Amino acid sequence: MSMEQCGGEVTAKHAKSSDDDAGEDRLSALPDDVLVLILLRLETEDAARTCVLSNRWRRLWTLLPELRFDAALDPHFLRDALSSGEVPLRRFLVGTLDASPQSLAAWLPAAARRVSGKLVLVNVDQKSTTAGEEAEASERGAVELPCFEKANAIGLELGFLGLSMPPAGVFARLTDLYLHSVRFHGPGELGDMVSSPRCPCLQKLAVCDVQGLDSITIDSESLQVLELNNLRGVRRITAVAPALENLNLLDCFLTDQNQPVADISASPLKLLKWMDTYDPYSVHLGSMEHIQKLAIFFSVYGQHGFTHNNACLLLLPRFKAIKDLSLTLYILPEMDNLQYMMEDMTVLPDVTFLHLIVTANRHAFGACSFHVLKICSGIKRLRLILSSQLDSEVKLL
Amino acid sequence: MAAPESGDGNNGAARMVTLISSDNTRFEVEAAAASLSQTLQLTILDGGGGGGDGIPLPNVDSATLSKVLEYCIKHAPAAANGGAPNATAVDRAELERFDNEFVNIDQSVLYSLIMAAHNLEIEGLQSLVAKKVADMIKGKSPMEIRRTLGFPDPTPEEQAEMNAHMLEYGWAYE
Repeated sequence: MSMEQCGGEVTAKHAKSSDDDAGEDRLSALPDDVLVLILLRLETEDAARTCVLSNRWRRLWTLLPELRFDAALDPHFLRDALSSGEVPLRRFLVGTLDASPQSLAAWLPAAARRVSGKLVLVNVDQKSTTAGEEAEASERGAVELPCFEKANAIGLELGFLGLSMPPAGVFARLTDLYLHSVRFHGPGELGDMVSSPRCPCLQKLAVCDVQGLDSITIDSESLQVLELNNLRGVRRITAVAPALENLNLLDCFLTDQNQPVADISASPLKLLKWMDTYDPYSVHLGSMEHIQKLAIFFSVYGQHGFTHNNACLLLLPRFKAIKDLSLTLYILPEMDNLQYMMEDMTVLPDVTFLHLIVTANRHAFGACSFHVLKICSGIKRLRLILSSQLDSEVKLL
Repeated sequence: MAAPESGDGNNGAARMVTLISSDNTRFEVEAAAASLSQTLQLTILDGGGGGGDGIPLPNVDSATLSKVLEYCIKHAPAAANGGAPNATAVDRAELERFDNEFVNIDQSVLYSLIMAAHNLEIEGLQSLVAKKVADMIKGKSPMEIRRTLGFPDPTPEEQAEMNAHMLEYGWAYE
């Protein structure tokens, strides 16, 4: 268009062209970071598909700082997706179905190079649900977790896939680690990996429903929250964690009826949840003088001499006063030939706020609840929760 | 840094600032609304934009700026409440209705808006417009996307290249 044309005509033509085709130029002409904002609003797979639109869009999606793949994908596609970009990933979320260790090994190292924020991997295992099949699963080998030097949070839910810890390398920025349904495999050790020399910033560690952990020894300057839930077959838990404030131990020794052996030294512990057997000779939890919240359970019926209630009977009396006590009264579904154990509970500390959680399994729970209230007369607030299963109290603390 | 002496805070009339578009139109607007822009917020906190001075915005034309300000004025009260934790469901539904209507506009205006929101760092507006454009892409084949976004028809070479890429990625399209 020549500049000699009069202003009116130029304006008119300009307006017309913007209706027709200027859109392409207008959108594609926007800077990368603006277009990436648009792509971020799409499912990653849809965003990746825009690579075919034009040359301008070819590599745009590789600039995405967040990738999320929900469905089981070809592991090589994942590896290529990770290798095709260089932008640090603040979030990388992957869902897989019946993944094999080999398929994860194909892309995990590429993820380790790029993730600077959070990695979440959830593998759903549809095949092995029974114990016999679990044994079969153990023959499928293990994937080694590569060292994520830049990531600050890692969550792995593996559907009991084998996982071995890297024997070397520093997770320099990791603050949160969550491991769920993992079958630990040598030679690297979890305790070694999460201890200060190799995880100098780790604040929160949660290990839930795992197998293959015979013992765990943690030595961490930074750890504040430690949750150990159903570590099947574990025999010994040791932690030197001077910054630890919140210890949450649930069903580690109880299920396999192992002798509870734990040595936790953490002077500022404020929150203790001990849903497991207890033995004052083999469990050492330090002075516990700063405890504000305590959660504990009591089995209403049982056999003489059983140790399930030891936490309540032997640990609780060590406290003169507790601000916030969460007491779970558990009644087994089958209680033939079992004796009423409530009379064992003769004294409770001074409690300000009592959460009384009753898992009654359709049995009468009035007497046992009143027993607690009778010896807990100083409370200022009471919260009574009827819970259908023992698991649901996990959420209550 | 000392706070500007007048008009800031809750005493009496709200403080006003003047914004000047690239085509020299002046817009007078409450400081609280203009402060939805991270870029402007700094200038305003510094005491700028008041009196006869005005803040020049050489990258934003008047049509776009008036649209941007329409958004800011609507969203300023909720933003002042810190994301409005105590907003009623009615308030929130009203904002949502406004947002939906707000982006129901010509594509060229939409693209100007996203650029302006980017330059002025107005987070809510950026994500509102980005979402609108993303919705135009969602669930469509490449040719449909090109058409929806108003790309010109591909040249034969571009078409061949697109087909090759689609084949490469194994996506069955059209």
